[in-house]
Amino acid sequence: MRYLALGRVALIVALLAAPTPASTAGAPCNADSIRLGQCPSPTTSITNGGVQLRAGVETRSNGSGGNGGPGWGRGDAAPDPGAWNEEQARANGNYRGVYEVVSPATPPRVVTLNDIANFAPAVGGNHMEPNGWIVVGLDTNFYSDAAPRVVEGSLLGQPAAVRFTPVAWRWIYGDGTSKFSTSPGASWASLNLREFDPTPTSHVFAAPGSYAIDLTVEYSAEYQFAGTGWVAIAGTIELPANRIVATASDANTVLVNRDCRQNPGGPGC
Amino acid sequence: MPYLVRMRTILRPAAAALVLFAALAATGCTPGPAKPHTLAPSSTPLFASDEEALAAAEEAYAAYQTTEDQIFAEGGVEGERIRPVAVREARKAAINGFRSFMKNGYRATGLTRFDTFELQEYEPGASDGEDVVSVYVCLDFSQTDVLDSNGRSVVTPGRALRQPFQLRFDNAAGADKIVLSSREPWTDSGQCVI
Repeated sequence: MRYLALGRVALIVALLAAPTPASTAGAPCNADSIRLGQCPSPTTSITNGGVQLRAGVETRSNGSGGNGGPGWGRGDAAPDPGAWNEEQARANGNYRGVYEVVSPATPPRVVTLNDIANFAPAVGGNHMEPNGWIVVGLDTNFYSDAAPRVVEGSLLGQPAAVRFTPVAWRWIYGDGTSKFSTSPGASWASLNLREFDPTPTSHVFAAPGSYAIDLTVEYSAEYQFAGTGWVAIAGTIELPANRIVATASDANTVLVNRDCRQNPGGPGC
Repeated sequence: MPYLVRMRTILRPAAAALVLFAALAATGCTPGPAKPHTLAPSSTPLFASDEEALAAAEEAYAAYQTTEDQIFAEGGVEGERIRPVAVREARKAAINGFRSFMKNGYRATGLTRFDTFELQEYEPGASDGEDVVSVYVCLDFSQTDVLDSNGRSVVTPGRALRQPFQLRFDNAAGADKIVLSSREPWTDSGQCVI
């Protein structure tokens, strides 16, 4: 972006003194400024050991009510060696300035799970096979598609990313039993198994009835500021996945994909 | 749901500063492994899930944007019409904008669209029992223009047609619905690029 080349005013912000969300470095832009395209979007870039927040400002001095306020306020006029003609701009009542905020990338203290509480990771889904029904006495396969997720947001007032990695899965089968697994499991097809084959995450229900099967996924978390590596956060976060309600029936009648003669690899064949 | 509580135990800026001071004062001391812990919300949460909070925020923002578009299209007159759909900074920023339009004889055309609503945080009982919902959104100005009294466009040349914002909503004064309380530009890391 062209305005990034216009650095003229540099404010060194001491993060330790007053954590300020990078995105809210000043008063909010007035609605007219937003509509006119006069509110800059903060951008981050990697520098030598620091996180830089830079915001370009373009303002019509005789136009809107302005977007004043600390941080976002109108900058000093900044001659642009490029296409922007400062004198012409002034003559037109327009000018532009750039603020640059540099703050230390190293967080001032240990980041805990509380600090990342506003990062909402998507929780991996709870799946079962056969889908929605259970044959009493046969294995029902459960698996999750929880995957590592990176969530961007503001951490200690700095733009940051938090990576959530699923590390453990606990199924509560609704029949008084549960299973803890360090694997998310997988579908029969992807395991190259036949339907109703046992898997590390399958379960056999002993009695007919309706069961609510809950899955809790345990995530480890790491954070990263721009320009730094991933840093692990102590502890784990447990998040509930979707509940599955399924009906268990005796296997008097089971719908299968063709009969055993046509599909010898089918269930029960 | 336990995770709703656990995931919303965030530090207020002031509290964060305090903790920071304490951490600095205790030089050499670092907190041990953190265990997730629970803070009970001070009142019944307005929403049972993040999804409900997000849906309510989207509805509240649609109401705001429609009203804002209409007032700007009419040159900023009767800006007080924004009051039912915006409070605090959002209301102030809107009314300042309307006054500016009136003063400059501007009027807007077209409708502002928005998409990519994404929840940043739902914080039940954040302050004084208010529920606060923070979301990210992409605003799309591609169908809008601002004209002066001569009908000439006055938007900044090169205005980004799609821009990311952070929106905050709360149920001010314990109301049973949330309204927009602030709207601020957000870091553009390409999330609004089509």
